[in-house]
Amino acid sequence: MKNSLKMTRLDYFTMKHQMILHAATLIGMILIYTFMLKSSIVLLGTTCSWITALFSSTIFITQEKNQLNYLYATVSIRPAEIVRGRYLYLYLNYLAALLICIIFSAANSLLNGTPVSLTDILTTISLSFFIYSCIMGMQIPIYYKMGYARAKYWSMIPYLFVLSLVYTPAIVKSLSYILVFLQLHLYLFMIIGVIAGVAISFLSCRISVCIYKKNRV
Amino acid sequence: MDNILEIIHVSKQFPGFLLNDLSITLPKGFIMGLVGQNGAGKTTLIRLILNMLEKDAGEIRVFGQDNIIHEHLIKEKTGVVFDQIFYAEDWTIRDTGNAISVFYENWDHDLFRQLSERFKLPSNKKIESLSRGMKIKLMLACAFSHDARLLILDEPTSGLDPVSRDELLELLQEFIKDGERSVLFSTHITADLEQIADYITFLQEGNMIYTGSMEELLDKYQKIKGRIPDLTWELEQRILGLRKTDLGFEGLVLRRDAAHYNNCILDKVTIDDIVISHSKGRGQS
Repeated sequence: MKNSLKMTRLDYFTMKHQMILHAATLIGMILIYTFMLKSSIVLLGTTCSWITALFSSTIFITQEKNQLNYLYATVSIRPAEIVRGRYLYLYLNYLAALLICIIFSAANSLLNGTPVSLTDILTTISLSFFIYSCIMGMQIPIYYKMGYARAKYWSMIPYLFVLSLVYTPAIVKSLSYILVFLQLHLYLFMIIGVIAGVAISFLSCRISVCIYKKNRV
Repeated sequence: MDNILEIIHVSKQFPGFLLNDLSITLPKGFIMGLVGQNGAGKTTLIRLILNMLEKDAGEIRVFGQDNIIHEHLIKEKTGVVFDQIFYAEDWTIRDTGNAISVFYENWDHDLFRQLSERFKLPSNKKIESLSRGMKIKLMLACAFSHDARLLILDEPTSGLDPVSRDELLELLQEFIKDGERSVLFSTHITADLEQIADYITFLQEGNMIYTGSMEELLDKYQKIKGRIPDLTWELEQRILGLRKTDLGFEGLVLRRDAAHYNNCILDKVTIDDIVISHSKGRGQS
Protein backbone atom coordinates (compact mmCIF):
# COMPACT_ATOMS: atom_id res chain seq x y z
CA MET A 1 0.00 0.00 0.00
CA LYS A 2 2.86 2.34 0.90
CA ASN A 3 4.36 1.95 -2.57
CA SER A 4 0.98 2.39 -4.28
CA LEU A 5 0.70 5.70 -2.44
CA LYS A 6 4.12 6.65 -3.82
CA MET A 7 2.75 6.04 -7.30
CA THR A 8 -0.34 8.12 -6.48
CA ARG A 9 2.00 10.89 -5.41
CA LEU A 10 3.97 10.57 -8.63
CA ASP A 11 0.74 10.83 -10.64
CA TYR A 12 -0.12 13.94 -8.66
CA PHE A 13 3.27 15.46 -9.53
CA THR A 14 2.78 14.48 -13.16
CA MET A 15 -0.64 16.12 -13.39
CA LYS A 16 -0.05 19.00 -11.01
CA HIS A 17 -0.03 21.67 -13.71
CA GLN A 18 -3.14 20.33 -15.47
CA MET A 19 -5.14 19.85 -12.30
CA ILE A 20 -5.75 23.59 -12.02
CA LEU A 21 -7.38 23.58 -15.46
CA HIS A 22 -9.44 20.50 -14.57
CA ALA A 23 -10.59 22.04 -11.30
CA ALA A 24 -11.51 25.31 -13.03
CA THR A 25 -13.56 23.44 -15.67
CA LEU A 26 -15.31 21.41 -13.00
CA ILE A 27 -16.13 24.41 -10.85
CA GLY A 28 -17.40 26.27 -13.93
CA MET A 29 -19.67 23.35 -14.74
CA ILE A 30 -20.91 23.16 -11.15
CA LEU A 31 -21.68 26.90 -11.09
CA ILE A 32 -23.66 26.68 -14.33
CA TYR A 33 -25.61 23.60 -13.19
CA THR A 34 -26.24 24.90 -9.68
CA PHE A 35 -26.95 28.59 -10.13
CA MET A 36 -28.09 28.93 -13.75
CA LEU A 37 -29.81 25.64 -14.55
CA LYS A 38 -30.93 25.06 -10.94
CA SER A 39 -30.13 21.37 -11.40
CA SER A 40 -30.61 18.82 -8.66
CA ILE A 41 -27.61 17.52 -6.73
CA VAL A 42 -28.18 14.05 -8.26
CA LEU A 43 -27.82 15.39 -11.80
CA LEU A 44 -24.86 17.51 -10.73
CA GLY A 45 -23.13 14.52 -9.12
CA THR A 46 -23.63 12.21 -12.09
CA THR A 47 -22.43 14.89 -14.52
CA CYS A 48 -19.43 15.40 -12.28
CA SER A 49 -18.61 11.69 -12.49
CA TRP A 50 -18.76 11.85 -16.32
CA ILE A 51 -16.49 14.86 -16.46
CA THR A 52 -13.98 13.43 -13.98
CA ALA A 53 -13.92 10.21 -16.01
CA LEU A 54 -13.21 12.24 -19.16
CA PHE A 55 -10.35 14.05 -17.40
CA SER A 56 -8.86 10.74 -16.33
CA SER A 57 -7.58 10.08 -19.84
CA THR A 58 -5.09 12.96 -19.52
CA ILE A 59 -2.81 11.00 -17.18
CA PHE A 60 -2.56 8.27 -19.82
CA ILE A 61 -1.89 10.87 -22.55
CA THR A 62 0.86 12.42 -20.42
CA GLN A 63 2.30 8.99 -19.63
CA GLU A 64 2.50 8.12 -23.31
CA LYS A 65 3.75 11.50 -24.48
CA ASN A 66 6.56 11.63 -21.91
CA GLN A 67 7.50 7.95 -22.05
CA LEU A 68 6.76 7.65 -18.34
CA ASN A 69 6.59 3.87 -18.69
CA TYR A 70 10.38 4.01 -18.73
CA LEU A 71 10.34 5.96 -15.49
CA TYR A 72 7.98 3.44 -13.87
CA ALA A 73 10.22 0.61 -15.05
CA THR A 74 13.35 2.10 -13.55
CA VAL A 75 12.16 3.20 -10.11
CA SER A 76 11.86 0.94 -7.13
CA ILE A 77 8.21 -0.07 -7.46
CA ARG A 78 6.37 -3.23 -8.54
CA PRO A 79 4.03 -3.32 -11.57
CA ALA A 80 0.98 -4.09 -9.39
CA GLU A 81 1.76 -1.07 -7.21
CA ILE A 82 2.03 1.16 -10.27
CA VAL A 83 -1.47 0.17 -11.38
CA ARG A 84 -3.01 0.33 -7.90
CA GLY A 85 -1.46 3.75 -7.36
CA ARG A 86 -2.98 4.96 -10.63
CA TYR A 87 -6.45 3.72 -9.60
CA LEU A 88 -6.06 5.39 -6.24
CA TYR A 89 -5.07 8.66 -7.90
CA LEU A 90 -8.05 8.58 -10.27
CA TYR A 91 -10.55 7.69 -7.52
CA LEU A 92 -9.14 10.40 -5.26
CA ASN A 93 -9.71 12.87 -8.11
CA TYR A 94 -13.29 11.69 -8.32
CA LEU A 95 -13.80 11.96 -4.55
CA ALA A 96 -12.43 15.50 -4.57
CA ALA A 97 -14.75 16.44 -7.45
CA LEU A 98 -17.75 14.88 -5.72
CA LEU A 99 -16.95 16.70 -2.50
CA ILE A 100 -16.81 20.03 -4.35
CA CYS A 101 -20.19 19.20 -5.96
CA ILE A 102 -21.78 18.45 -2.61
CA ILE A 103 -20.34 21.57 -0.99
CA PHE A 104 -21.54 23.84 -3.81
CA SER A 105 -24.95 22.21 -3.89
CA ALA A 106 -25.35 22.46 -0.13
CA ALA A 107 -24.26 26.10 -0.26
CA ASN A 108 -26.84 26.77 -2.95
CA SER A 109 -29.56 25.13 -0.87
CA LEU A 110 -28.61 27.23 2.14
CA LEU A 111 -28.60 30.43 0.05
CA ASN A 112 -32.06 29.61 -1.28
CA GLY A 113 -33.30 28.71 2.16
CA THR A 114 -34.17 25.14 1.13
CA PRO A 115 -33.18 22.23 3.40
CA VAL A 116 -30.23 20.03 2.43
CA SER A 117 -31.59 16.56 1.72
CA LEU A 118 -29.42 13.76 3.11
CA THR A 119 -31.26 11.23 0.93
CA ASP A 120 -30.38 13.25 -2.16
CA ILE A 121 -26.75 13.44 -1.10
CA LEU A 122 -26.56 9.68 -0.49
CA THR A 123 -28.29 8.97 -3.80
CA THR A 124 -25.81 11.25 -5.53
CA ILE A 125 -22.84 9.51 -3.90
CA SER A 126 -24.13 6.05 -4.78
CA LEU A 127 -25.23 6.78 -8.36
CA SER A 128 -22.24 8.88 -9.34
CA PHE A 129 -19.81 6.37 -7.78
CA PHE A 130 -21.50 3.54 -9.68
CA ILE A 131 -21.34 5.47 -12.97
CA TYR A 132 -17.73 6.49 -12.39
CA SER A 133 -16.73 2.91 -11.49
CA CYS A 134 -18.47 1.50 -14.57
CA ILE A 135 -16.74 3.96 -16.90
CA MET A 136 -13.32 3.73 -15.28
CA GLY A 137 -13.63 0.00 -14.72
CA MET A 138 -13.78 -0.49 -18.47
CA GLN A 139 -11.68 2.46 -19.59
CA ILE A 140 -8.50 1.93 -17.55
CA PRO A 141 -7.86 -1.66 -18.72
CA ILE A 142 -8.44 -0.45 -22.31
CA TYR A 143 -5.79 2.25 -21.84
CA TYR A 144 -3.35 -0.22 -20.30
CA LYS A 145 -3.97 -2.68 -23.09
CA MET A 146 -3.81 -0.34 -26.06
CA GLY A 147 -2.25 2.90 -24.86
CA TYR A 148 -4.09 6.19 -25.24
CA ALA A 149 -3.30 6.83 -28.91
CA ARG A 150 -4.78 3.51 -30.06
CA ALA A 151 -7.56 3.39 -27.46
CA LYS A 152 -8.89 6.88 -28.15
CA TYR A 153 -12.08 5.62 -29.84
CA TRP A 154 -12.36 2.33 -27.95
CA SER A 155 -12.39 4.27 -24.70
CA MET A 156 -15.76 5.75 -25.69
CA ILE A 157 -17.35 2.31 -25.31
CA PRO A 158 -17.68 2.60 -21.50
CA TYR A 159 -19.61 5.87 -21.89
CA LEU A 160 -21.98 4.31 -24.42
CA PHE A 161 -22.37 1.29 -22.19
CA VAL A 162 -23.26 3.39 -19.14
CA LEU A 163 -25.64 5.54 -21.20
CA SER A 164 -27.46 2.46 -22.45
CA LEU A 165 -27.51 1.03 -18.92
CA VAL A 166 -29.12 4.20 -17.59
CA TYR A 167 -31.60 4.82 -20.40
CA THR A 168 -32.69 1.30 -21.37
CA PRO A 169 -35.13 0.85 -18.43
CA ALA A 170 -36.62 4.28 -19.19
CA ILE A 171 -37.06 3.59 -22.92
CA VAL A 172 -37.98 -0.09 -22.92
CA LYS A 173 -41.41 -0.23 -21.28
CA SER A 174 -41.12 -3.87 -20.20
CA LEU A 175 -38.09 -2.92 -18.07
CA SER A 176 -39.64 0.11 -16.44
CA TYR A 177 -40.55 -1.99 -13.42
CA ILE A 178 -36.85 -1.77 -12.52
CA LEU A 179 -37.13 2.00 -12.11
CA VAL A 180 -40.25 1.63 -10.03
CA PHE A 181 -38.52 -0.98 -7.88
CA LEU A 182 -35.48 1.28 -7.42
CA GLN A 183 -37.65 4.23 -6.41
CA LEU A 184 -39.45 2.08 -3.87
CA HIS A 185 -36.23 0.69 -2.44
CA LEU A 186 -33.96 3.74 -2.63
CA TYR A 187 -31.65 2.78 0.25
CA LEU A 188 -31.20 -0.73 -1.09
CA PHE A 189 -30.39 0.82 -4.46
CA MET A 190 -27.77 3.06 -2.82
CA ILE A 191 -26.09 0.15 -1.07
CA ILE A 192 -26.13 -1.97 -4.23
CA GLY A 193 -24.69 0.97 -6.21
CA VAL A 194 -21.76 1.37 -3.83
CA ILE A 195 -21.10 -2.38 -3.54
CA ALA A 196 -21.29 -2.85 -7.32
CA GLY A 197 -18.97 0.15 -7.84
CA VAL A 198 -16.40 -1.25 -5.42
CA ALA A 199 -16.62 -4.74 -7.00
CA ILE A 200 -16.22 -3.35 -10.54
CA SER A 201 -13.25 -1.25 -9.44
CA PHE A 202 -11.48 -4.17 -7.77
CA LEU A 203 -12.06 -6.46 -10.75
CA SER A 204 -10.94 -3.77 -13.16
CA CYS A 205 -7.79 -3.15 -11.10
CA ARG A 206 -6.90 -6.84 -11.16
CA ILE A 207 -7.38 -7.00 -14.92
CA SER A 208 -5.26 -3.88 -15.38
CA VAL A 209 -2.46 -5.35 -13.23
CA CYS A 210 -2.39 -8.48 -15.43
CA ILE A 211 -2.36 -6.40 -18.61
CA TYR A 212 0.32 -4.03 -17.32
CA LYS A 213 2.58 -6.89 -16.25
CA LYS A 214 2.39 -8.25 -19.80
CA ASN A 215 2.96 -5.00 -21.72
CA ARG A 216 5.17 -3.00 -19.39
CA VAL A 217 7.13 -0.95 -21.91
CA MET B 1 29.86 -10.50 -3.80
CA ASP B 2 32.50 -9.24 -6.21
CA ASN B 3 30.32 -9.13 -9.29
CA ILE B 4 27.71 -6.42 -9.49
CA LEU B 5 26.09 -7.93 -12.57
CA GLU B 6 26.00 -11.53 -13.77
CA ILE B 7 24.16 -12.56 -16.90
CA ILE B 8 24.13 -16.33 -17.23
CA HIS B 9 23.08 -18.01 -20.50
CA VAL B 10 20.32 -15.51 -21.15
CA SER B 11 18.25 -15.78 -24.32
CA LYS B 12 15.32 -13.80 -25.65
CA GLN B 13 13.51 -14.40 -28.89
CA PHE B 14 11.40 -11.96 -30.90
CA PRO B 15 9.99 -12.56 -34.36
CA GLY B 16 13.07 -12.21 -36.57
CA PHE B 17 15.55 -11.65 -33.74
CA LEU B 18 17.25 -13.87 -31.19
CA LEU B 19 19.40 -12.68 -28.34
CA ASN B 20 21.36 -15.83 -28.08
CA ASP B 21 22.81 -17.38 -24.92
CA LEU B 22 24.57 -14.36 -23.43
CA SER B 23 26.84 -14.73 -20.45
CA ILE B 24 28.40 -11.55 -19.10
CA THR B 25 30.01 -10.61 -15.81
CA LEU B 26 30.63 -7.08 -14.57
CA PRO B 27 32.81 -6.90 -11.46
CA LYS B 28 32.46 -4.26 -8.78
CA GLY B 29 34.33 -1.02 -9.42
CA PHE B 30 34.56 -1.19 -13.20
CA ILE B 31 32.98 0.26 -16.33
CA MET B 32 31.72 -2.08 -19.02
CA GLY B 33 30.99 -0.84 -22.52
CA LEU B 34 28.27 -2.49 -24.54
CA VAL B 35 28.93 -2.14 -28.25
CA GLY B 36 27.41 -3.36 -31.47
CA GLN B 37 25.50 -2.13 -34.48
CA ASN B 38 21.88 -0.98 -34.34
CA GLY B 39 19.73 -4.02 -33.70
CA ALA B 40 22.59 -5.99 -32.12
CA GLY B 41 20.60 -6.45 -28.93
CA LYS B 42 22.14 -3.85 -26.61
CA THR B 43 18.89 -2.19 -25.59
CA THR B 44 17.14 -5.57 -25.35
CA LEU B 45 19.84 -6.71 -22.94
CA ILE B 46 19.40 -3.58 -20.82
CA ARG B 47 15.64 -4.07 -20.77
CA LEU B 48 16.13 -7.68 -19.68
CA ILE B 49 18.38 -6.57 -16.83
CA LEU B 50 15.74 -4.06 -15.71
CA ASN B 51 13.00 -6.69 -16.06
CA MET B 52 11.24 -4.54 -18.64
CA LEU B 53 11.24 -7.65 -20.83
CA GLU B 54 10.75 -11.25 -19.82
CA LYS B 55 13.69 -13.48 -20.70
CA ASP B 56 13.13 -16.87 -22.36
CA ALA B 57 16.05 -18.61 -20.68
CA GLY B 58 18.92 -18.01 -18.31
CA GLU B 59 19.47 -16.05 -15.17
CA ILE B 60 20.29 -12.43 -14.40
CA ARG B 61 21.77 -11.56 -11.04
CA VAL B 62 22.31 -7.99 -9.91
CA PHE B 63 24.17 -7.42 -6.62
CA GLY B 64 24.08 -11.23 -6.33
CA GLN B 65 20.25 -11.28 -6.37
CA ASP B 66 17.80 -12.52 -8.98
CA ASN B 67 16.63 -9.56 -11.04
CA ILE B 68 12.97 -10.65 -10.99
CA ILE B 69 12.55 -11.90 -7.44
CA HIS B 70 14.44 -8.95 -5.96
CA GLU B 71 13.55 -6.39 -8.62
CA HIS B 72 12.35 -3.91 -6.04
CA LEU B 73 15.56 -4.02 -3.98
CA ILE B 74 17.78 -4.00 -7.06
CA LYS B 75 16.14 -0.88 -8.49
CA GLU B 76 16.63 0.89 -5.18
CA LYS B 77 20.37 0.65 -5.89
CA THR B 78 20.33 1.05 -9.67
CA GLY B 79 20.43 4.27 -11.65
CA VAL B 80 19.29 4.31 -15.25
CA VAL B 81 19.93 6.82 -18.01
CA PHE B 82 18.26 6.27 -21.37
CA ASP B 83 18.97 8.18 -24.56
CA GLN B 84 15.62 9.99 -24.17
CA ILE B 85 14.49 11.63 -20.97
CA PHE B 86 11.59 9.84 -19.28
CA TYR B 87 10.30 12.52 -16.93
CA ALA B 88 7.21 14.68 -17.50
CA GLU B 89 8.25 17.63 -19.64
CA ASP B 90 6.39 20.20 -17.59
CA TRP B 91 8.26 19.26 -14.43
CA THR B 92 10.87 21.69 -13.23
CA ILE B 93 14.23 20.40 -11.99
CA ARG B 94 12.93 20.80 -8.43
CA ASP B 95 9.70 18.92 -9.25
CA THR B 96 11.75 16.09 -10.73
CA GLY B 97 13.76 15.69 -7.55
CA ASN B 98 10.60 15.77 -5.44
CA ALA B 99 8.74 13.33 -7.68
CA ILE B 100 11.55 10.76 -7.95
CA SER B 101 12.70 11.01 -4.35
CA VAL B 102 9.59 9.23 -3.00
CA PHE B 103 10.76 5.96 -4.54
CA TYR B 104 14.17 5.80 -2.90
CA GLU B 105 14.95 5.34 0.77
CA ASN B 106 18.48 6.67 0.26
CA TRP B 107 17.48 9.79 -1.65
CA ASP B 108 19.62 12.73 -0.60
CA HIS B 109 17.89 16.06 -1.33
CA ASP B 110 21.01 18.07 -0.48
CA LEU B 111 23.10 16.01 -2.87
CA PHE B 112 20.49 16.47 -5.61
CA ARG B 113 20.60 20.22 -5.05
CA GLN B 114 24.40 20.24 -5.10
CA LEU B 115 24.52 18.15 -8.28
CA SER B 116 21.93 20.41 -9.95
CA GLU B 117 24.12 23.40 -9.14
CA ARG B 118 27.24 21.61 -10.33
CA PHE B 119 25.56 20.59 -13.60
CA LYS B 120 24.19 24.13 -13.99
CA LEU B 121 20.58 22.95 -13.88
CA PRO B 122 18.41 25.84 -12.64
CA SER B 123 15.92 24.46 -10.13
CA ASN B 124 12.93 26.31 -11.62
CA LYS B 125 13.65 25.46 -15.26
CA LYS B 126 11.21 23.11 -16.97
CA ILE B 127 12.46 19.90 -18.55
CA GLU B 128 10.98 20.82 -21.93
CA SER B 129 13.32 23.78 -22.14
CA LEU B 130 16.50 21.84 -21.30
CA SER B 131 19.08 20.95 -23.93
CA ARG B 132 19.82 17.29 -24.59
CA GLY B 133 23.04 17.50 -22.57
CA MET B 134 21.18 19.00 -19.63
CA LYS B 135 18.52 16.30 -19.79
CA ILE B 136 21.21 13.62 -19.59
CA LYS B 137 22.79 15.46 -16.65
CA LEU B 138 19.41 15.61 -14.90
CA MET B 139 18.97 11.85 -15.27
CA LEU B 140 22.51 11.41 -13.90
CA ALA B 141 21.80 13.75 -10.99
CA CYS B 142 18.77 11.60 -10.13
CA ALA B 143 20.81 8.40 -10.40
CA PHE B 144 23.60 9.78 -8.19
CA SER B 145 21.21 11.24 -5.61
CA HIS B 146 19.88 7.86 -4.49
CA ASP B 147 23.33 6.39 -4.01
CA ALA B 148 23.08 3.98 -6.95
CA ARG B 149 25.62 1.16 -6.94
CA LEU B 150 25.04 0.23 -10.56
CA LEU B 151 24.56 2.77 -13.29
CA ILE B 152 23.05 1.58 -16.57
CA LEU B 153 23.35 3.97 -19.48
CA ASP B 154 21.76 3.34 -22.87
CA GLU B 155 23.31 5.55 -25.57
CA PRO B 156 23.69 8.57 -23.28
CA THR B 157 26.35 10.29 -25.40
CA SER B 158 24.60 10.19 -28.78
CA GLY B 159 23.75 13.73 -29.81
CA LEU B 160 25.94 15.32 -27.16
CA ASP B 161 28.59 17.85 -28.08
CA PRO B 162 32.25 16.87 -27.37
CA VAL B 163 32.47 19.02 -24.24
CA SER B 164 29.33 17.48 -22.70
CA ARG B 165 30.55 14.01 -23.64
CA ASP B 166 33.86 14.62 -21.97
CA GLU B 167 32.11 15.91 -18.85
CA LEU B 168 29.90 12.82 -18.76
CA LEU B 169 32.90 10.50 -19.04
CA GLU B 170 34.61 12.33 -16.19
CA LEU B 171 31.50 11.92 -14.07
CA LEU B 172 31.40 8.20 -14.72
CA GLN B 173 35.02 7.82 -13.71
CA GLU B 174 34.30 9.76 -10.57
CA PHE B 175 31.26 7.55 -9.92
CA ILE B 176 33.30 4.33 -9.76
CA LYS B 177 36.21 5.89 -7.87
CA ASP B 178 35.40 4.24 -4.53
CA GLY B 179 35.56 0.76 -6.08
CA GLU B 180 32.04 -0.13 -4.88
CA ARG B 181 30.07 0.93 -7.97
CA SER B 182 29.95 -0.15 -11.57
CA VAL B 183 28.69 1.20 -14.86
CA LEU B 184 27.17 -0.58 -17.84
CA PHE B 185 27.42 1.79 -20.76
CA SER B 186 25.88 1.10 -24.16
CA THR B 187 27.10 3.39 -26.91
CA HIS B 188 27.79 3.77 -30.60
CA ILE B 189 30.57 6.24 -29.92
CA THR B 190 33.25 3.72 -29.11
CA ALA B 191 35.93 6.40 -28.74
CA ASP B 192 34.20 7.23 -25.43
CA LEU B 193 34.66 3.67 -24.25
CA GLU B 194 38.33 3.65 -25.12
CA GLN B 195 38.75 6.52 -22.67
CA ILE B 196 36.96 4.98 -19.71
CA ALA B 197 35.87 1.33 -20.13
CA ASP B 198 37.62 -1.54 -18.40
CA TYR B 199 35.47 -4.25 -19.96
CA ILE B 200 33.77 -4.57 -23.32
CA THR B 201 30.85 -6.69 -24.43
CA PHE B 202 30.45 -6.78 -28.17
CA LEU B 203 27.14 -7.97 -29.60
CA GLN B 204 26.32 -8.65 -33.21
CA GLU B 205 22.85 -9.63 -34.42
CA GLY B 206 21.99 -10.99 -30.98
CA ASN B 207 25.17 -13.04 -30.63
CA MET B 208 27.98 -12.30 -28.28
CA ILE B 209 31.22 -11.82 -30.17
CA TYR B 210 33.32 -10.86 -27.17
CA THR B 211 33.06 -10.12 -23.49
CA GLY B 212 36.06 -9.39 -21.33
CA SER B 213 38.74 -6.85 -20.69
CA MET B 214 39.05 -4.05 -23.22
CA GLU B 215 42.82 -4.29 -23.20
CA GLU B 216 42.63 -7.95 -24.21
CA LEU B 217 40.20 -7.16 -27.00
CA LEU B 218 42.37 -4.39 -28.40
CA ASP B 219 45.39 -6.61 -27.99
CA LYS B 220 43.75 -9.49 -29.82
CA TYR B 221 43.65 -7.78 -33.22
CA GLN B 222 45.87 -5.66 -35.40
CA LYS B 223 44.97 -3.52 -38.34
CA ILE B 224 46.65 -4.71 -41.52
CA LYS B 225 47.30 -2.65 -44.64
CA GLY B 226 49.12 -3.69 -47.79
CA ARG B 227 49.36 -3.65 -51.57
CA ILE B 228 47.03 -5.82 -53.66
CA PRO B 229 49.89 -8.04 -55.01
CA ASP B 230 50.71 -9.02 -51.40
CA LEU B 231 47.15 -10.18 -50.75
CA THR B 232 47.40 -13.95 -51.11
CA TRP B 233 44.34 -16.23 -50.95
CA GLU B 234 45.52 -17.56 -47.59
CA LEU B 235 45.90 -14.04 -46.21
CA GLU B 236 42.51 -13.04 -47.58
CA GLN B 237 40.90 -15.86 -45.59
CA ARG B 238 42.50 -14.63 -42.39
CA ILE B 239 41.48 -10.99 -42.74
CA LEU B 240 38.38 -9.79 -41.00
CA GLY B 241 36.45 -6.97 -42.69
CA LEU B 242 38.68 -6.92 -45.75
CA ARG B 243 38.43 -3.74 -47.82
CA LYS B 244 40.10 -3.68 -51.25
CA THR B 245 40.72 -0.52 -53.26
CA ASP B 246 42.89 0.25 -56.28
CA LEU B 247 45.60 1.41 -53.92
CA GLY B 248 45.67 -1.62 -51.66
CA PHE B 249 43.77 -3.49 -48.98
CA GLU B 250 43.07 -3.21 -45.28
CA GLY B 251 41.33 -5.16 -42.56
CA LEU B 252 41.93 -6.83 -39.22
CA VAL B 253 44.00 -9.87 -38.36
CA LEU B 254 44.64 -11.70 -35.14
CA ARG B 255 47.78 -10.41 -33.46
CA ARG B 256 49.04 -13.96 -32.93
CA ASP B 257 49.20 -14.38 -36.73
CA ALA B 258 51.02 -11.09 -37.29
CA ALA B 259 54.37 -12.76 -37.88
CA HIS B 260 53.09 -14.18 -41.20
CA TYR B 261 52.50 -10.78 -42.79
CA ASN B 262 56.00 -9.56 -43.60
CA ASN B 263 55.17 -7.20 -46.43
CA CYS B 264 52.23 -5.54 -44.77
CA ILE B 265 51.86 -2.65 -42.36
CA LEU B 266 50.44 -3.58 -38.96
CA ASP B 267 48.86 -0.98 -36.74
CA LYS B 268 46.84 -0.64 -33.51
CA VAL B 269 43.09 -1.21 -33.71
CA THR B 270 40.23 0.76 -32.26
CA ILE B 271 36.92 -0.68 -31.04
CA ASP B 272 35.29 0.91 -34.08
CA ASP B 273 37.67 -1.08 -36.34
CA ILE B 274 36.68 -4.28 -34.57
CA VAL B 275 32.93 -3.59 -34.75
CA ILE B 276 33.07 -2.59 -38.42
CA SER B 277 35.30 -5.51 -39.44
CA HIS B 278 33.10 -8.03 -37.65
CA SER B 279 30.01 -6.64 -39.35
CA LYS B 280 31.69 -7.17 -42.73
CA GLY B 281 32.84 -10.67 -41.88
CA ARG B 282 35.88 -12.66 -42.92
CA GLY B 283 37.54 -12.58 -46.32
CA GLN B 284 35.00 -10.21 -47.88
CA SER B 285 35.62 -6.98 -49.70
